[in-house]
Amino acid sequence: MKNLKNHFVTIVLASYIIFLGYLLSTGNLRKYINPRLSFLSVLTVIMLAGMLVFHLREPAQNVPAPGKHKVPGNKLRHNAHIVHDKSREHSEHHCICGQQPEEPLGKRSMILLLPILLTLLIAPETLSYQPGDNPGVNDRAGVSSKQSALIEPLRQESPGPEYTEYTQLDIGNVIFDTYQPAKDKLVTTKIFLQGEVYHPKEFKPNEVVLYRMAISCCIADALPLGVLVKLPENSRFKDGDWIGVEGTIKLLPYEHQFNNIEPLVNMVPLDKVYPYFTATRAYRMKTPRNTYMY
Amino acid sequence: MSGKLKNAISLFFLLTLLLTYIMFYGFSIPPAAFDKLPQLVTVFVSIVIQALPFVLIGVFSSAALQNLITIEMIENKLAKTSKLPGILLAIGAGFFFPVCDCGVIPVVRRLLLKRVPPYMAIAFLVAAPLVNPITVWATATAFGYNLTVTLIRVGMAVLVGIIVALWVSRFYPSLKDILNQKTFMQLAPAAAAETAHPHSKPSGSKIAGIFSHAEEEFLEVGRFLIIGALIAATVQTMVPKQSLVAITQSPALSVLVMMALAVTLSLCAEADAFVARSFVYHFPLGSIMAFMVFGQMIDLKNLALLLKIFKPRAVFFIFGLCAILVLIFCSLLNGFSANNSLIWGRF
Repeated sequence: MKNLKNHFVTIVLASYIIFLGYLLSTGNLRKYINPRLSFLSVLTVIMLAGMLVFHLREPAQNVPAPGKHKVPGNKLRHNAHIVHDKSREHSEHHCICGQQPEEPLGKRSMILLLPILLTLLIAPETLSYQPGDNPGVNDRAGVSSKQSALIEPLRQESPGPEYTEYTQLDIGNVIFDTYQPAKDKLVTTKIFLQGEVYHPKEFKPNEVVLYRMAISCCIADALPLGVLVKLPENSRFKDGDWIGVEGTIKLLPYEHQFNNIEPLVNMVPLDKVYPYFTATRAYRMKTPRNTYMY
Repeated sequence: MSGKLKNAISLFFLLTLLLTYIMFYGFSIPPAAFDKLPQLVTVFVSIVIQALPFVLIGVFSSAALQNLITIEMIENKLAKTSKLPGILLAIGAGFFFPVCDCGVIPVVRRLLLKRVPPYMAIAFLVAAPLVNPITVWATATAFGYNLTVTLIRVGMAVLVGIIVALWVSRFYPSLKDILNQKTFMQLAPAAAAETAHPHSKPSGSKIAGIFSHAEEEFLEVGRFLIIGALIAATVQTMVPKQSLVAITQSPALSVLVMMALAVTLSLCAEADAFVARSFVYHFPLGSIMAFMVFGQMIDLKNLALLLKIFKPRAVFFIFGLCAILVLIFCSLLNGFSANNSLIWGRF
């Protein structure tokens, strides 16, 4: 029992190193945070590894003398600093460096393993936009999944060579930028765009929002970014379908009727224009492994 | 009455209450709660992964402070510093210390254990997450390098930091007033030890000391981070953001709503400005500023960490005062910046 806490510390540190190492090596880290910030997770692994090496290097010193508190790490130093506090009614030993007197390995410490255990038990879910007034899967377009498949079968084809692939984030970056040539290029280029379909009830049947979730730091700050797309005649998709569209973009003055459509609002820059995509072709696509934009 | 008996009685009452509820209303968990479980876990784990490096940096900074700076050094320096310059010094340190709202707490705890006056530590606690270079850069980027928005955010943080620190110096002048019993009990032994064993160890021993303290503090702080992240993820997953946005039309109420939203979302300092920008079509500038300023002072994620160090009454006083000040300043800002002209102004 003496070394129980030491073993627990080893398990906690090693578990986090393995967990983060696994996420980094498999690329699954991008399901939780922006890969741009993965260097922070590398830094975490380095710091935890340093702690673990230090912890394992001096295991003998981690066993406290009877009656003294146990602190993992350099125990000789801690034990040397223990003083008796006579001012208290009950005799207690305190480490002078301000560390807590050791508690027995309690249930509270076990909570450190909770994120890792939960990840093992429950697979991470890719987040998607759910309007507040209609949580869950939307089906406002009134087209069932089966019908949708009949109308627009799944295609594996890629866009033609004349089309340049833009993401909603790329479009946002261009229109949020004040650099005019980039905007001019955007409105004159033939564009391929993909994303998830959302059909607000205010829209015409052939108008949908094609959106993807963008992550600044971690999933907690994910924002839907969407472009209003006018589909070709007779195209029918249901909410949640992953589709690709080919066509051109116009920048139109922002209309306040879009105020409650979050993916569109997030794409409106300070000069109050919004991107309007006119599709010449639209087809269902296989949902990519990673749907986020960073 | 012994602690064990108290716990047993509390448990008995809780179980009785639970059984009574089940008898009358039956036992059913809404299916939506299960549907949202994978989403909750994803958000929870992402918050932990995102906060972990900052907490570790805070923990190592705290350990370095413990091992490299003595109480005597701090007392000698601060003996010549009066109140207001001391507060400005603490806030000024925040401009150079890239520490977020999670990482700042272990550092402040260590400063207090080193007998830094509470008002200086609190000034640092309140302002540092907002004025550090990373937050300033993120704010400027999110708002298209709009200098007005960035300066208002930094200026408000400095102003709130100064006022709160002055009030703390008046109502919570000593460490005994502000620290909880557990943290305060660590003060006397710490001072005694430094007198008996000044930190004149060889550098190898100092590094060992840093790792030792960092490890212990990580175990302490880590569990509070996880509790906070779990609460934040639960609230964020179960309470739709739109429901909060929908209930507000009045400018004063919208400031309060945005403050509540910031507390519940518990966003990182680097990300909150980007989320705040998405509200510019729903809220006036003052309300957006309330989101960005108050959210970096306190949130659900770091509340548990704060209560680990401070007396609950002190936490309520400090952050209640922050809330009142942010509410006043941001409501005034709403009055001055009708139609977000301060944001749109440069276009």
